[in-house]
Amino acid sequence: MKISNEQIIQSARRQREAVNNSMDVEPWSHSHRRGRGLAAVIGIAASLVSFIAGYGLHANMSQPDVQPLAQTVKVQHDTIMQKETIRDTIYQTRTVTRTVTKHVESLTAQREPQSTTSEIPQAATPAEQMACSMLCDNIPYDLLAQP
Amino acid sequence: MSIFHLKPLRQQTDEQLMARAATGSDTAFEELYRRYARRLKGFFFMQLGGDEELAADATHDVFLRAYEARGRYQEERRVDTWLFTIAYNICKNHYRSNAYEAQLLASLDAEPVSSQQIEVDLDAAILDEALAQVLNELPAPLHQIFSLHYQEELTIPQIAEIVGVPEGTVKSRLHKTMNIIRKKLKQYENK
Repeated sequence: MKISNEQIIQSARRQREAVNNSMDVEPWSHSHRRGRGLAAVIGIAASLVSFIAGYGLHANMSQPDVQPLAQTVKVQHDTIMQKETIRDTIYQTRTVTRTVTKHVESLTAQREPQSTTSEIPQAATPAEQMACSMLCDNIPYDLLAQP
Repeated sequence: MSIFHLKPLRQQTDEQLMARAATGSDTAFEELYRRYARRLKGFFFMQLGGDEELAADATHDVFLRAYEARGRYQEERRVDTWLFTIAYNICKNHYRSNAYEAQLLASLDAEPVSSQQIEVDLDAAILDEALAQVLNELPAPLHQIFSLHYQEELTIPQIAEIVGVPEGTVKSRLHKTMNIIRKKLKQYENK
């Protein structure tokens, strides 16, 4: 059968009708379409979360083979403070601070002089008190008696 | 207030709806979406390789652009021409990298229009299937112009405005596209 242009046009229109009828249309919303965009956002968020989680895990793992870049040790009164700078990645370093207090406290406690308050001689009478105050440039006896 | 504001939305013309949308009526814009979304999605589906998700994205893109530009809408302009101009540009951007098609159009425009029609002797039962195949194989600019005229039923002046070429060029391209289609359909004669 000879095909006319009109038959070709009619066939093209039938094709268009079939396609249009098979199309589902979402309700109109002037926000950006969710779909591929949402999938991409979820993908990026998942990557970010896994990176942060992985980084945290890495930072918390004991790494005996990783040598610190720098180390300082400071002793202040009863505390020994050790600071180490450790390189985790090419771009990232972190500082680990360790303090030791308890042991030094106990040492300090042992070295403290014993209280001598009880050994200070107490004046027996008001006359003795007066005499002692006079000897010590009129400093009240009560003050002198304090350790 | 003009008279069209008193008519129900469904009885208003596209241009009246667009004029209302331009003054901030979202319901008027929704009515336009209801009228054109399926048609544009079908157009994109056929132009962008039968990918429904891509067609849905492109359709939404058309309406998003129209919504954003609604304040600049000129009332004398036809809404269907305006929407299909946006759709045509989206298709063009999709195929932007294809320099071959630009060359093909240039050489096609340079050819004289042949008055001789290629005869095709084909069983009508297989015409739909064969034509669908042939249209898919057509270079994108020819497929678009064929689809805009014969499937979307836009007029020659409308297509000239959408594509940005003179009406004479549209006519000659349509004629040559039809000849290419007939030539390709001939391959199905003995199948």
